[in-house]
Amino acid sequence: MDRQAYFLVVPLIAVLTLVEAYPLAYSVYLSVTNYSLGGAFVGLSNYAQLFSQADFWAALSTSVVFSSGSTVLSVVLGVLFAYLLTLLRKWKGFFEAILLMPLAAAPIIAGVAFAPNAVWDDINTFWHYILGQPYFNVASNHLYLPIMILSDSWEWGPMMMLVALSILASVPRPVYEASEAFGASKWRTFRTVGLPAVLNSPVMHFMIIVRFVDAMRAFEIPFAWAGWLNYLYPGAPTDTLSLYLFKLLLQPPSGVIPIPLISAAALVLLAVTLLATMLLFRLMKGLRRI
Amino acid sequence: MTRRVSNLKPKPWVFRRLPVYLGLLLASLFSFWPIMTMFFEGAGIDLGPLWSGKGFSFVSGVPYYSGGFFPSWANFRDALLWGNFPRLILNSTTIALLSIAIALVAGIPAGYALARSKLRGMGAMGFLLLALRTVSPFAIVLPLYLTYIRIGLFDTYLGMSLAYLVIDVPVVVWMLSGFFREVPGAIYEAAESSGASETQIFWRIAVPSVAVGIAATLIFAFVLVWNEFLMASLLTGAATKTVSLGVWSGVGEAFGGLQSADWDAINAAGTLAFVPAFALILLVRQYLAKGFSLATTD
Repeated sequence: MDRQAYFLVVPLIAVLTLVEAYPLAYSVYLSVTNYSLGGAFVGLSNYAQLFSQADFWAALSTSVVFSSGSTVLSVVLGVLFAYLLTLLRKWKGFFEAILLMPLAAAPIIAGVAFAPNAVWDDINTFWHYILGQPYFNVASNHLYLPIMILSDSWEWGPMMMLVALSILASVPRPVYEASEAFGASKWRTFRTVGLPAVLNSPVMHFMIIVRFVDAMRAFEIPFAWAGWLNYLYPGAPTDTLSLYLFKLLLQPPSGVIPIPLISAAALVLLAVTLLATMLLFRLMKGLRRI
Repeated sequence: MTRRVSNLKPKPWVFRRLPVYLGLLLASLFSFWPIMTMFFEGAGIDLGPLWSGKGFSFVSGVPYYSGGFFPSWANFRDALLWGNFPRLILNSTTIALLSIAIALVAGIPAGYALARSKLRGMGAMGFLLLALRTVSPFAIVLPLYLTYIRIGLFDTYLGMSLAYLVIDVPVVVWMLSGFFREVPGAIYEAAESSGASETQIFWRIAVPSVAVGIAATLIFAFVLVWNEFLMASLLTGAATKTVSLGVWSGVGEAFGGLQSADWDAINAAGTLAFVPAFALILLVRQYLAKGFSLATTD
């Protein structure tokens, strides 16, 4: 088997070379030349120019906050939903289907469905007329980032829920039964048996890392909010790094699309995400050993 | 640990079960409400006046709801009949199927090798796929755009399908290697001892036993590609515009920068794009978590 294994991964390597290695190498090339001025080698000056821009750092930190927040919140929501579902005997499939709905929604739909004049309209009216509170402004600078994080977790919490459900189902039944025989409540059983099983599972750790990595590239939800709040210029406060690069591409401030700068920024984002991924891997391996 | 044994005197049903159903109700509202609002906005129903308690009045003795009560299908009808939504659906479907077909050709043998081989390089392959997922789309899209313009692949189905391999190949390999791993090793050993060659084992035993897994993987990857927005917005022109782009820019218009269509049309198109994706997710839900078990080997 082992000899054939190499032949079996040849198509995969061919595909990855074509759609990953080649574009990446091209990006590296673009990031060290001045593309629009004839393509001469300019060393790391594009990177230096990038690092000197405050907008870039702001966008990068927005990305980090966004993806950390979204990762944590989607795990919390997913595990909570999974716990609620395990308490059900009837209607489990029905509620699972409802809770899975956001998973099917495109990220751009998450941006639309959580728009200031969609669901917040209802909540604000309820808040104001039924609870008698003053209106709150969803578009204010304190609220939109948490709301973007919430809508991202709204979409991916269900994925975490599926993973948590499958881990909870894989805990041997006698463990639960023993816990209940000692008189522990459902909640206590979950806290001492189910929750540690979920949080220590390698599958969960893998999904957490994938979630973080995906959120670092988040584009659609910030893009939609840039539309709602009319933040159309590069460097606006809703910009994640992907959105910042998108705006540089479509509405370059200098009139010339800064292709080398965008390539450099994309590679920096790649390096940051890769570094964070490796740190997370280490961290979680360490946690599992305890 | 001295805790009161609580099941000697069970609490009444209401107190035991009410918090559960209340929690589920809240969770369901959280998941369901935004989608419902999107559908209602697309159908021209506004719930706001209902929540304010001021939406109802009597107009010459007849009850009247100021938010609009009877759904109008105009936006949905316009999208499907007068707009180019059917064309967008055709584009998205063609691109997704072509891309996933290529991903499966590469992913089925690779998933099998990852699951069965114990070579060192195979673990690194799994990690490499995760690492490739960290690549920003801009590091891929710009080079592809410049290349596509030169070789005439821009705004073609093939060009888009190749670009989407970035998204579906890792998922296909992860999920399939999970499914291949679930096949009991004894089956392979039995086949080997009865003289089957490695090729026969792969085609006659391994692939048929994960057929359902392959179908589930195909469907999940389809939903991912169907929902993709950023690459589509940079690499498609008029001929290959996809459904998720149509959600934002409205139907029948060219996509221009950050412009969006009018609110009702966005919501109607969003609903239309959501329904098939939800149906597919429901179809494969029990296979999704199972498919992501590759990480258990690290």
